[in-house]
Amino acid sequence: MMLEVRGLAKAFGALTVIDDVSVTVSGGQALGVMGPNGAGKSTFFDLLTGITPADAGQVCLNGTDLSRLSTEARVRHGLVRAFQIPKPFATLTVREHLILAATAGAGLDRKAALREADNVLERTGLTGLAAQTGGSLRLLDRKRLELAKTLATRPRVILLDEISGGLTEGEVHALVDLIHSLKSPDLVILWIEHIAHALSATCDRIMMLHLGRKVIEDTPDKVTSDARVRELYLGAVPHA
Amino acid sequence: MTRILLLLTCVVLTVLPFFAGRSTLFLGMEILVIVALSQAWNLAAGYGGLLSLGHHAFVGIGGYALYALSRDLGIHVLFAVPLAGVVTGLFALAVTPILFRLRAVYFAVGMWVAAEIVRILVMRADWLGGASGLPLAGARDLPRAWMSPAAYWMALAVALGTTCLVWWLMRSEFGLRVRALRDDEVAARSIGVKPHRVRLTVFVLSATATGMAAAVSFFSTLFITPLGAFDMGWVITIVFVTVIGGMGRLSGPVLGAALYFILRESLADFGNWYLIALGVAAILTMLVLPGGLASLMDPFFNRSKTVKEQP
Ligand SMILES: Nc1ncnc2c1ncn2[C@@H]1O[C@H](COP(=O)(O)OP(=O)(O)OP(=O)(O)O)[C@@H](O)[C@H]1O
Ligand SMILES: [Mg+2]
Repeated sequence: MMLEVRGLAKAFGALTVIDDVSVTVSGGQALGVMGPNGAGKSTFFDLLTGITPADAGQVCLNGTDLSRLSTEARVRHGLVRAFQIPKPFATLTVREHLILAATAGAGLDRKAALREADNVLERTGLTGLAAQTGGSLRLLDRKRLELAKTLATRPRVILLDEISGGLTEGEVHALVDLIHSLKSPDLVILWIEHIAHALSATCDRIMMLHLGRKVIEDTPDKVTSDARVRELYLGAVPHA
Repeated sequence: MTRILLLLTCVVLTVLPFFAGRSTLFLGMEILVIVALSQAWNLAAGYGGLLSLGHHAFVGIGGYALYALSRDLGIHVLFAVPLAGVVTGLFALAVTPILFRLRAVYFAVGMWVAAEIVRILVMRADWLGGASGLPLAGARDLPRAWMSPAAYWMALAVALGTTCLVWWLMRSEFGLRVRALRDDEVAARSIGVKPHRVRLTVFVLSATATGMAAAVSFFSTLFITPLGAFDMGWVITIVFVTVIGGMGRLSGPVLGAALYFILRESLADFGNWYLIALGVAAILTMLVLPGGLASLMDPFFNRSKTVKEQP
């Protein structure tokens, strides 16, 4: 498995939000994505999934160019994301979310989808909430469901956007363990997070974005000790 | 318990023609046609989010298809009714490349414009009788005495069929896609739901059912005119019935139709006052019961139409 991103770019009017970003991640690896608020991290994921069309650049998975495909077609190729602001389906139960993800996303038949749904419920600790509707969930469970949905699509590239927000220290540890357990040669993981230690614990490399540009991409040690990164994070005033 | 009641209702409805007089049967047929039409509209608008204000195009096409099929191809009316649905569905399929470019209000207006265009084309088509309309050539296919029971039974079949179709669709995997799209399109696409395919299916099924119900209705009138067939009153009634009853709920069109006909029949002596009563009822429902009459039933029914938990 190999995700190659080449020269990705996006501007909203005069505002350049992603500026010529290239990165390659191979199966079994996790890439952490950091950057101050408004750096363009979520937009980077929007471009990868195609929910926002890119102005330029390519997204290739195992040599297949996905750049011109719709979001839903990219899901069929295994490229899936968890949203920073969770998007549950208000009237679907948690289990139905996963059944849908397994049928529409992974292309499983009904029987296999039901099994996959129960499996993912178990792994993400949502079994107890299986019969609740998406609209009735607390924020924390919505975030969990966001991750569970992506897993049920049987992803090959999984894009996680700040899924640890609001978790306690212990829960972050559990999440780190879960993501570790996902690692396999068949899966590429990209994880946007502000919690440096969580990224360091799971990611093989970390990419730092600032004003839509890639500032640095290196091993967690090198990135967290980098002077520019320290300055950006200390100097950054959250404005979003 | 509810199952037994439903079954009993179906049995009573089926044997009604053996007891009821012609006028009762006609009213029953009318009610069933409105139920079928509203279920079909609810499928597109309530479940599928396709707010069409042009479903009277499908009513007219279904009606005219029955007349043309039985006259020009000599097809027996009993077979021409389902075929009229198929013709309507194909028409819907043919207009989607243009209409599906429009969203929300624009789609609603686009559908209405489409209906107007079809009506004008039909009025100018001499082989369809132009503005003065057509008699039903296939009327001879059935003995006189069986005309109204046949119309009633066909209406019953279409109403039950459409209701069962919606019920079955919504508890299938396909129904999950429809509901997910209605709840959040971006989220649905992000787990692989193909919006176009889902909407197309819903729209074509809705049109097919509408065409069939309309064919039944115009079978009973023995005559069809463009003004009657493409009357905007059809879509107004359907929307009122569905909104009062409850959009996106299976019982909505049934309850809405019940209220509609109670108002219409009890205010029959006061001319068109029932229309005003209906309008007031609609506004009141929207204010007091945003989920429609169907939401009154929630305490009595487990209304979650969920996919079966075990295979
Ligand atoms: N649709 C849009 N139209 C205009 N500007 C946008 C749009 N989407 C994002 N932006 C801008 O692009 C910039 C990057 O936003 P983005 O959400 O990608 O940041 P982020 O790095 O994810 O930030 P955060 O850490 O707060 O989630 C911001 O300045 C934002 O205002
Ligand atoms: Mg973000």
